[in-house]
Amino acid sequence: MKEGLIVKNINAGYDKKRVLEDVSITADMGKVTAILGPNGSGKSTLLKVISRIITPEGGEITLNGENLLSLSRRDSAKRVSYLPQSRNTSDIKVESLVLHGRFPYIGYPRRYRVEDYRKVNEALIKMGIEDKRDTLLSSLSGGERQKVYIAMCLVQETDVILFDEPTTYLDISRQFKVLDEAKALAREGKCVIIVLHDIIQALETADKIIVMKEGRVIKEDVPDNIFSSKVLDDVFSITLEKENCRYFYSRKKDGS
Amino acid sequence: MRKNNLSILLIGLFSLLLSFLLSLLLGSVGIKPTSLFLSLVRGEKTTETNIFIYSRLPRTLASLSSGFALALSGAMLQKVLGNRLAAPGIIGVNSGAGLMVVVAFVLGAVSPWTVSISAFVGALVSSLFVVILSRKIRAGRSTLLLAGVSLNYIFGALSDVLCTLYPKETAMSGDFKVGGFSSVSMPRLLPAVLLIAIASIIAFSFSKDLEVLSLGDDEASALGMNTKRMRLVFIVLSSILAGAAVSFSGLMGFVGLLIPNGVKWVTKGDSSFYLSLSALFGAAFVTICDTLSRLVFSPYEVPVGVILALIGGPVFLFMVVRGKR
Repeated sequence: MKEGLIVKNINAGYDKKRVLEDVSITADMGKVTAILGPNGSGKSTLLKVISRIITPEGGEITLNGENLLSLSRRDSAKRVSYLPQSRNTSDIKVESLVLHGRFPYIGYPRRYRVEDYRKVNEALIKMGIEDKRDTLLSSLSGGERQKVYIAMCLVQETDVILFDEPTTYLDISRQFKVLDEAKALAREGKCVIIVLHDIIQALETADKIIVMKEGRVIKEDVPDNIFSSKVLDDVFSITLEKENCRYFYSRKKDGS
Repeated sequence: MRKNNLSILLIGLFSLLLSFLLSLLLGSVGIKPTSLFLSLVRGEKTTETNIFIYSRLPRTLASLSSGFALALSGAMLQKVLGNRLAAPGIIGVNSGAGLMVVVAFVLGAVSPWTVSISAFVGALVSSLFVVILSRKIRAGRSTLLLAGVSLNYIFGALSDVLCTLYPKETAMSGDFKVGGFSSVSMPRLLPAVLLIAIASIIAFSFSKDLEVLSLGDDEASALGMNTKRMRLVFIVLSSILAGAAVSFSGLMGFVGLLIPNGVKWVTKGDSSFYLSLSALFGAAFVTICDTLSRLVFSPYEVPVGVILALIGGPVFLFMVVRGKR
């Protein structure tokens, strides 16, 4: 079995402000790993470090034994794809945007090949948006846009896919669809890491949960153990309960 | 959509051809195409052939290449900075080039190459200054624009100081500030046109990178791009284009703002299409304006910058108002 993604002793931040302190996590191939934590706990920064947007100060990131930090950015982009939290919805056609998922694979002069167009076509069909190929991204709904971005990740053909709060701004049925798509990607053998705001969704979707607070990893385990450890109760100041296999939470009462 | 893009491209090509022919044939002295052709074929030296070779041809080449370069430069800056207000005339690139040209005049370096190179150096220094400053203070894209605007005023004022102190040496700089092609000659034009050609080829070859960069820094980095380096490449390219154009055409800032916005208004397409159309319409627009500048009060000439502003201003205003609706 492949050993998956291993992040070891990473420190990182912006300018002189340290955001991540000695962070170590593992994420398996074929599994959905969810990262939970309050605002400012460093979840997005961690994804940015793994996707090489931010260069860490020391530490190690390996994917199936290969040191990601020693690769060129371009080679790293062939192994890790990243869906950011918010984007500019520039005037770009769906097909053109998805095609840029192939950007790490083209050299100079920058020309996409027949093979790239074929892969884009396959991804558009897979996501059910082949009829939108000539539509401008800005005229799509939030849910459709998310499908376009996932199609872009698909053509990037990476082993690791990072989602930064993909359900934000979506209505509840779309949120479930995006989470289903994340699970489907994991079933295909990819290592899916997803930052979520919704604790219940994370507990019900993920195979493994990483809890972060103030730039550190507090706990890393399967959802059941995370629930029983009460770590989420402490981090989010809530009372988390489970009944008939369903999770729900309420505000922690003062003094409890 | 694709059909629409094709028709706009054809309109662009047709306008370019039309502006080229009109600029060659029309002016205070009209040139008859047939007699000019016959004289050129026979190798005769007539008034018409002299006007054609020494005035119209360089002038047409100048207006075409300056419109091409300034609009392309503006289109790139707007993409890189993600702001429709970005243009070489707005972020201080043109005035930086202008200042260095005035400095060159003061120092007595008036050869075509030194003027071209000084304009380019001025454009480059001012754009780099804006980029480095904004990086130091971690400014957003709009702060970068504002920094450029202040630079514009500073360089403009310094140019004025030099012109006041050295009126004789900088006598030519009055024309330079308004912008125009009346004193253009082939030797003055060629180095700049060469620079424009090289920078344009490089710019077009990187149009995919430009599009990826305009998706946002995080997205572009995650696709394997070194965003800092690529942004610098595009800003340097747009400075070369604007600097080279300014070196023979003077300060014609409006083109770089108007044309890319106009192109964006009528069409939606990928970066290479956007860059090509901007360059094409920029060349056609400046050349038509220059022809009009010769014709409106013939035999007198109105500076082309005035015509550009008089036509472009209302068009821009119309686009802004319509866009707002």
